[in-house]
Amino acid sequence: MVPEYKKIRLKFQKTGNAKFISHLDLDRTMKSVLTRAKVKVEHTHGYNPRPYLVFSLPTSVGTESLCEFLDIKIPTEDDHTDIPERLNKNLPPDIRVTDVYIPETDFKQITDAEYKLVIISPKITKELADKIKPLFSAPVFIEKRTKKTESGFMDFDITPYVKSIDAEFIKDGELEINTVVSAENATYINPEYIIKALCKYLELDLSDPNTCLYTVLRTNVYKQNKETFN
Amino acid sequence: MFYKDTLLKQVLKPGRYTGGEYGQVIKDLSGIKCRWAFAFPDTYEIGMSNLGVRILYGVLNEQPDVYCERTYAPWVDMEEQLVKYDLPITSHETGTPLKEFDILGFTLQYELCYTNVLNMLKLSGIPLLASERGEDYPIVIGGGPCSYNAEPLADFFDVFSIGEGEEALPEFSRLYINMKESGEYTKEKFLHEAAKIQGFYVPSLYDVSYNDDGTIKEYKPVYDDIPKTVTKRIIADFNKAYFPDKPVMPYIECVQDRITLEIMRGCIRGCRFCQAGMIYRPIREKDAALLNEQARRTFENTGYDEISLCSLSTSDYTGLRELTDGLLSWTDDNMISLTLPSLRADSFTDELMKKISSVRTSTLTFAPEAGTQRLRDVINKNLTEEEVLKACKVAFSAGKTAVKLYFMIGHPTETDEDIKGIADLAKSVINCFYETENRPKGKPLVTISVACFIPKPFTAFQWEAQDTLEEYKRKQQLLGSYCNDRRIKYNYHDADGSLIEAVLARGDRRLCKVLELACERGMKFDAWSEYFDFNKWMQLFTDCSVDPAFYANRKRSDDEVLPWDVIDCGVSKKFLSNEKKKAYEAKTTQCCAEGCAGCGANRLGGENRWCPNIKK
Ligand code: SF4
Repeated sequence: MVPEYKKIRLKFQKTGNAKFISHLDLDRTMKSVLTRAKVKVEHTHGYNPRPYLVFSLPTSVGTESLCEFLDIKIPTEDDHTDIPERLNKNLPPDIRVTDVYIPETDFKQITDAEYKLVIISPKITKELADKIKPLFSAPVFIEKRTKKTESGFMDFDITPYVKSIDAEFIKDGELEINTVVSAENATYINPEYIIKALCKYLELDLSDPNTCLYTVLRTNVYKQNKETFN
Repeated sequence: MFYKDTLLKQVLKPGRYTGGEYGQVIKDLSGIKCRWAFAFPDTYEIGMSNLGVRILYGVLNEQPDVYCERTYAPWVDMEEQLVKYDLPITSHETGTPLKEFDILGFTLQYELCYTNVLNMLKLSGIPLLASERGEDYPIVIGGGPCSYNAEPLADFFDVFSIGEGEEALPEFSRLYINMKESGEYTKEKFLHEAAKIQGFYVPSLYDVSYNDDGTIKEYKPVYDDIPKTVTKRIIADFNKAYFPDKPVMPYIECVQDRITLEIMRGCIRGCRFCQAGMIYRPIREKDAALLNEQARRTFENTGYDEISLCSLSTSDYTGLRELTDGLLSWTDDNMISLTLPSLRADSFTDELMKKISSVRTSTLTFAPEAGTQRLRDVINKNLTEEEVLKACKVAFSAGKTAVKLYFMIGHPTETDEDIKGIADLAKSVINCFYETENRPKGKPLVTISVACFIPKPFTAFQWEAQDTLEEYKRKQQLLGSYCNDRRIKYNYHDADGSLIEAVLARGDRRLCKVLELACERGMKFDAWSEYFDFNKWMQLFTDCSVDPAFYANRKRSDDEVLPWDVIDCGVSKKFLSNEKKKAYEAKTTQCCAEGCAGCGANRLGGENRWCPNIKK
């Protein structure tokens, strides 16, 4: 008898060390965690069956997130309410499942994502912070890899994808930026581009581990009308 | 302030360096009296796959007052960052610089990692020479297969652990803690005490003198109360040995993301070129029911979807049927696949084929090692062409079209006839495909992978000369000219690397200066073809006035003192020299299952099926 399955959605956070794992590695990690936690999931059919995992909008390596989603299918009769607890016992400390529910939305409905960027550098001053907002009212170009040009790079204007950006000067040496960028498939941009642009226009070099740091944290994802996606 | 994240954002695969993996051991430092850093001198992905490291990490951390952390060789991009910003290598668990540990252990798996060992010391700000490291630096200890002749590293290490470390390393830690607590501790006193424990070789406590012809005259202990030869350690009862059933789960993909079940230690075979076959004797098997239970527990703790049975010759394990049946009773339902590397062709049956293909299969590999029956007898492979073909037939009738055969060229007494024999055997396998009635559709593909023989310590061929590079290249080409069939795919290993390995494998302390200079010149990752530079090695030998041929291509006489004579691995020198004589006569020696050949390893004791007991 073929069991009946229901789709459930796991909401999870990925912070600290876990931000450095690639999407592929996250996929592998989750598979083994589900096995360890004895969560039965539907497998792909065929010669080499694999558990069927669908992630929403992957973050890039280096980005932390408070709102990642993973859809899996489990047998209809299985209880799903205790799954976060079971998974958390088997997850590395930097990945935490925060919620589980039967989803009413589709990942395709995601339109935007909100990020908090923190920049730490001795070069940060109030003056510099004030330059950021007006910067995005004109085109802001970054170099992007491409196969189309001979050099392998092209100039790319990110302003159309940046829906809002707000810089807050915390103190000398520290800056916080809140931004909402497009997350639709065709117009998705990596929030790291904003850091790249700032480095270019404000002449910041953030590569010295003895003085500089920037962090990227996804704080929310939205569907149409800026409603929080769940 | 130091921001690790900034560093990690500038390197490939930052997951190599983060730590924080599921299963890593975190301890409260206030109760810790002995801090170990266990260093693997290659990449994280390789180190995390190493069973020995998993075992020793677990064993040491079982001790409540000992804390063992992990560290790996930084990849070149990370090294660049460390140098640029003047940062040391740190441990994964607590981010502590290696310099600050009490004991720094290196596992020595292959000779070409030696440059990485020195590079890791350098990047940690630790002086290379043991004699220049004062009380404030960690005790540097080495272990693993290369420690059976680690003389080329003698100047850099305080001590080597010879043999199995499961009991030895906790004992070593205990000695350290006791001496620290009683206030008797100085590094010198500690090393002297350690040298009295079975299995610990302190190179600085043995003086070496040389003859005029460059050979070794004598090894002389500097104290009367330390042994003249250091006897390796073994675990007497393999069923009671520590098993790492809760390994650290790497975030990133590693070389072996699977459950490794070590089904036995040692090998009953006795191939005359094989070092592992000698140094891990006596043979000890683990109980099948226990293995099954350990596999089950590890599966529950890891969620891995593959179990690999590991030993030097899996099919010689007497409980194989019971074990595979036991595993298959639950692995199939959990979609776990079973892999059995190191299968001998003569044991390959329909039954095994069905079992291992139950979920997933890969290309089947057999290792005839030599192309003619005469030469297979010389190396004591105890395998006939008929047996190889029978195994291939089983594979073909189960639907395979491709098989892979491993060979080695350069065995003692080898002639061009033997080289031709490799191609002939491959052709026979192709014919065998067409003779298999229920063969699959399509054409067969036989891959022959041909390595260069490297004479190793503690083998019957430890006295032999390695073929010169010219000879290796000639033989490689010759074999290529015989492989004129498109259904044969011919791969061969680079001979250059084999020469360097041969020099280091049978080297003595005079090679320390070569390695020191190699480190000074920034050499590293020599096991990686993209970083191995043969000319640099030759330049080093020239600059240090060392003749590589003295080590690699020179035939030793039976009475020569060998650099590894200071170590007793259990198997006697007399047995080995007798095996060498039989090799010249192309006479085989029975395997342990057929009857004890008297290798001498049973002197070490241990619970095992084959060895005759010796009253102690
Ligand atoms: S003592 Fe005999 S049975 Fe034991 S490993 Fe040696 S040869 Fe084999």
